[in-house]
Amino acid sequence: MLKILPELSLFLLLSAAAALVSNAINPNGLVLNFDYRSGLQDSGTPSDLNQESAEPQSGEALIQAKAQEYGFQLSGPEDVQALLEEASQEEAILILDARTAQAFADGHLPGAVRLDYWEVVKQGVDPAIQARLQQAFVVLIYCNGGDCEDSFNLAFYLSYQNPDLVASPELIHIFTGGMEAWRQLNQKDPQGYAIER
Amino acid sequence: MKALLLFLLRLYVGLYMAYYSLPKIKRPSDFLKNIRLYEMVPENPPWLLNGMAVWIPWMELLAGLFLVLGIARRGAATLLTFLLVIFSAAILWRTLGIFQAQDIAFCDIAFDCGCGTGEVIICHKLPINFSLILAAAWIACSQDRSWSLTSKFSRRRNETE
Repeated sequence: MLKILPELSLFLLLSAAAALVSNAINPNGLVLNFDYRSGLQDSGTPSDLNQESAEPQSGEALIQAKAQEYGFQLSGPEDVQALLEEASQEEAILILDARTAQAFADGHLPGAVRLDYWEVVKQGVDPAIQARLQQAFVVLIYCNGGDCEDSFNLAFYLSYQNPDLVASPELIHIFTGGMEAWRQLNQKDPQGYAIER
Repeated sequence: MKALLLFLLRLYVGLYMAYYSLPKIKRPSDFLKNIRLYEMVPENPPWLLNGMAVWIPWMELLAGLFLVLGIARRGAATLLTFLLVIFSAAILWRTLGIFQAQDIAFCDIAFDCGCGTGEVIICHKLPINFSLILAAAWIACSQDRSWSLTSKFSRRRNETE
């Protein structure tokens, strides 16, 4: 057993070094000291700190409760339809897709701009999108829906962690059903709930 | 015969682990989301969980490749056995949690276990992991150095001496 220890140490050191280098050069790498779920943690919420904490929630319910707590608007498919219609004529409505490049390529909301939360944390917001964010009076964000946290996390990042990007959290609308709900509606009504590829 | 069997097992474990580590290395955020669901590592400080998501796939890749090549193969096999036992126990624990919480047959339970394979039926995944653990543990205990780069190097060194 003792003979294996140097080999084990070699693996641990080699893999740690390779992991650090690869993570630094990988555009999808992680910022090691960044709390990717800080908005969803119990501490640091803007709600009344003396308030009795409710039953612990998880997944979709937690995301919706936190979104309301932080002042984001929750949007259903009909709200999104109306916003998309307005967005086709109005530059100040920005639709953000918080999913991966692959998921975006497989289909997204018409006129949506891809802003992958994980990439944004590592690389920052593209200046063109940054300019549009600062002028926007509505920012609609979505991901896959259900217990997908990326739309909430992106909203939190844009309005609380980088408050210079979006003027106020109330401007942000989160499409809670996300792409999953939109796809289901698209199967019934492909015109009304169009998917762009 | 035993040497050939050990070599084939090295290929099986090494290639399996190395292949499925690649998607996790390419997109560590997906792996991070998956390992968080096991609630085995505290969320604070963040570098602990983030670091695991970045580090573990590289352990799998290097140990897998070294196992195939036969370099430091006992260390590689020991590391993989250790990782596989932890992963399998975590998967089983989470599956039992789902089984108790939902009215669903054990063999109908499927989720993305963070194994690099996407969503899997756990009834299929656990036997695969069990076979990998047995194979890796046997390699770790074996002194046989056939079909490995280190045995070639040491033979050449002996010849020159």
